[in-house]
Amino acid sequence: MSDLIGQILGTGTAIGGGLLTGAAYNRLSDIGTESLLGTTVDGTRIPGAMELANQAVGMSQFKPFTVTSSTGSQFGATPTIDAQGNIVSTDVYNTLSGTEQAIQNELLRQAQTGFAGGTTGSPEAAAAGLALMGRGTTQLGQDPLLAQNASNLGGMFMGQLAQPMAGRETDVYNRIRAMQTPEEQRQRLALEERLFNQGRMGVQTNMYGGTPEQFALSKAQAEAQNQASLMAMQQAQAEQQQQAALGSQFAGLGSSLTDAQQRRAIESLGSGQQMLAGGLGLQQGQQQLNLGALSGAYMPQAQMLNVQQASQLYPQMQQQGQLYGAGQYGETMMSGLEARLIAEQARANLLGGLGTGLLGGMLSPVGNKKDGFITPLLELFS
Amino acid sequence: MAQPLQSINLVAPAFMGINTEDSPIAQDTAFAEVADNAIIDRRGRLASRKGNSVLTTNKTVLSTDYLHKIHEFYDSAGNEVIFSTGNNKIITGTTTLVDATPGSYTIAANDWKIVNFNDYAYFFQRGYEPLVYSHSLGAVTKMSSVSGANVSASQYSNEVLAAYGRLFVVGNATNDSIIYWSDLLVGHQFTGGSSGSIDVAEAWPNGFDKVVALAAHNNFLIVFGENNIIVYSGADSPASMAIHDTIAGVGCVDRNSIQDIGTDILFLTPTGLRGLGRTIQEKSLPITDLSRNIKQELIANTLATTTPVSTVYSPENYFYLLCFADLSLVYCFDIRATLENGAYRVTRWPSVDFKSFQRDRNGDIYIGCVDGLGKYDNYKDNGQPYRFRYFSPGLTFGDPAKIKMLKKIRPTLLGGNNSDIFLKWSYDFSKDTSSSTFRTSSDSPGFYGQSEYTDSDFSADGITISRNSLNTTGYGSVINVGLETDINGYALSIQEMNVLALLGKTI
Repeated sequence: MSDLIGQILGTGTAIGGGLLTGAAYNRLSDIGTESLLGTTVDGTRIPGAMELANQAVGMSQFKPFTVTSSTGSQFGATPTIDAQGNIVSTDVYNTLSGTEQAIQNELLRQAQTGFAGGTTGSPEAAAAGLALMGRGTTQLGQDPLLAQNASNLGGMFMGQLAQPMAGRETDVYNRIRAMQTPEEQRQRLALEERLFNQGRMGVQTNMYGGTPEQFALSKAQAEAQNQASLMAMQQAQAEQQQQAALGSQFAGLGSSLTDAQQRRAIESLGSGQQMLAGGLGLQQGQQQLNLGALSGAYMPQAQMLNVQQASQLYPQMQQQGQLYGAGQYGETMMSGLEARLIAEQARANLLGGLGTGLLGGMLSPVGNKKDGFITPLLELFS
Repeated sequence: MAQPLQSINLVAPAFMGINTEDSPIAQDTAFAEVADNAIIDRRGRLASRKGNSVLTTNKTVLSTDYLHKIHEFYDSAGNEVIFSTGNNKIITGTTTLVDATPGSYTIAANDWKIVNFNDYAYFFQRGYEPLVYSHSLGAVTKMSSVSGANVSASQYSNEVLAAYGRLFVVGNATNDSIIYWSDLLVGHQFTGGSSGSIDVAEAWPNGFDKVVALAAHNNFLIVFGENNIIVYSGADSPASMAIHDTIAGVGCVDRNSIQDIGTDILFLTPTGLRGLGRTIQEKSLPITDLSRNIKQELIANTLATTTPVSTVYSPENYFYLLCFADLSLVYCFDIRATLENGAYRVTRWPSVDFKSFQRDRNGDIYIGCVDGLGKYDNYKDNGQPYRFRYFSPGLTFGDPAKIKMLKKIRPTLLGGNNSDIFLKWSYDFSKDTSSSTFRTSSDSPGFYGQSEYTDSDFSADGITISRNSLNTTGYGSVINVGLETDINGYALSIQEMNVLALLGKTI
């Protein structure tokens, strides 16, 4: 029996809980509807949110305004409102004064001309820079022929240093002797002629071999030969030194030429870069000028906007006032609803809590370990 | 109608010497046709020469030969040796000839030339090693044996000249062109030092020639070829000497003919006796022909002789003797002055035994002969008289077309003590002469202390004077007069000869 009682009690509980919860729910739904559609309390029409929203739209609607600067420029915004009172667009206009318009026009023209005409000298500079860079690149890539020749010459001279000097000495000696021999031959013939005329051709002496003159001539010629030999050696040495110097010089020259060529290539590259940079600089300058002109062109407009921004406060203040008023109106109007809502929420919460407890008991397991545990709600429907 | 005698006074006859070149009748009467064994004495008179006073008493080494060469060696220490050559020997001594030929040195010729140089005597003959003598050596020595000598066959020369501090030699067996000179002051060193040589083969002005003789004069070295002469200047430095002048076409026939007379150099050419004086003074040709008056005769004898000539210059006697030994002929050239034609006065010494001469430092003239060594002294030839002869040129008395009848000859003679004078004359160049004889005075001179208180105290000054007048005969258009006499110990000179003739009709 207990079980049946239990079951009857349980079912009553569950039905009572459900009824209470449903009442709370209905009350809250009514209040929501009233908040949207409004209600009448005590004869007073309390507008809902939708009504308030319609009223607020009219109250917060944008008011056209015009700002006029001290230079004569004007800024204005005129909204376009459709039939529903919605702002579909806003015409904003900015009218510069005559002077400012002329300045703007001129600057715009300059900017346009500058942008359209390009930068004077910049392409040439760029082209020259590119040419120089090309040349520098070419020079860097080129085999320095002159330097190579100089280096080869230097190598040749240096190579000659390793050659024995005897051959060169012989060559120089032979060349010197070739220069001396004709004169010696003339002198010898002259002496022979003189000796013949003097009847001394057949002179043989123990002291001189022949005549003293022949001895002197032979001695002179022998000395000349010795001197030629010495000169040949000195010349060969001098040439060797000269070759060494030339070799070193040409090697240095080759190196210098290489360095110079590299320097020149680098300089060409640098100059090209500079020229290119100059061109770009010119272009940038021109662009800056253009931009400056362009910026300058919009300067009156910007200034107008600044004035407009500076004077934006007042329409905003007006708008804010309008919005504030509308808000205040809406909020005030809604505050009653909110208070009702709160009261209804509290009533709903009381009913809802009672229903909830009842339902919770129906859902809580009942039993003991010995008989086992059951869920009343589930048992109800089982 | 009696006609006056024409007189030709031959004053100092033949004082111009003999002249065989010009026409006899066109000659100056001062010439002579014959002047044998005569000289021109210091007064310009024709006089007899001196004789050959033979000194040698022992000429064994000479055998039958004569002395070909005489040389007086003397050195700075006063040592003196008389060398002579003959019979293929080197001989010393004057009275007794001694063979001084070095041992193992064979000689086959006697044509030596000997010179003194720096206290040495050097003997040179072609193809023979030179010989050397000095007081220190003490004997004639082969040059190669002398200490320090350097000599080769090249210096086995014919000609040697000591001059300018060196010996110059030339003419070896194979070469007559290369003149070698010795080292300075060392005559036997021909290699080393400053010795040398010069080949003059290419220096002759007229083709090829041979060096015959050398001479030194006025710092010139005169090289005589057979047909050319080269004068080298600067010979004191022979390595540098050069031709100063050349003379083509005139040479020297014998090295022995060259005599330096101080102002000139006399030499015998194929065309006569010449002197270089004018050439050296004037530096140009022509050189003087000193034997012009006997030119053809001298040339003939030069060609005829086969032996080397011998000459001597005697400033004491003013003559230059030229001897053709094989012809037994000596020409005596009086060198005091030349005649208008540039020739020396010349006399002839024929048939003499003089073969060679040498004048010593004292002025004595040594004579080489078959008898050995003599001196030109006294008036006998080795004790024998010799014939003095004089013949005038043709005398025409100014008119060759007229006949002359010689009437008298009056010679004035000096000396000739007791000499028989053969006065001769002929007509129209006839060899047949007429003669007349007279004897000169016999006035021997007396000297104080020798013949004191004798008649000679009152004699003349040692010279007798003979003035004889001899009648003559015959006639002809051209007259030759002369005289002969034997010179036998006394000199004779002709002071004057006065010829008187009667001119006849014209031929």
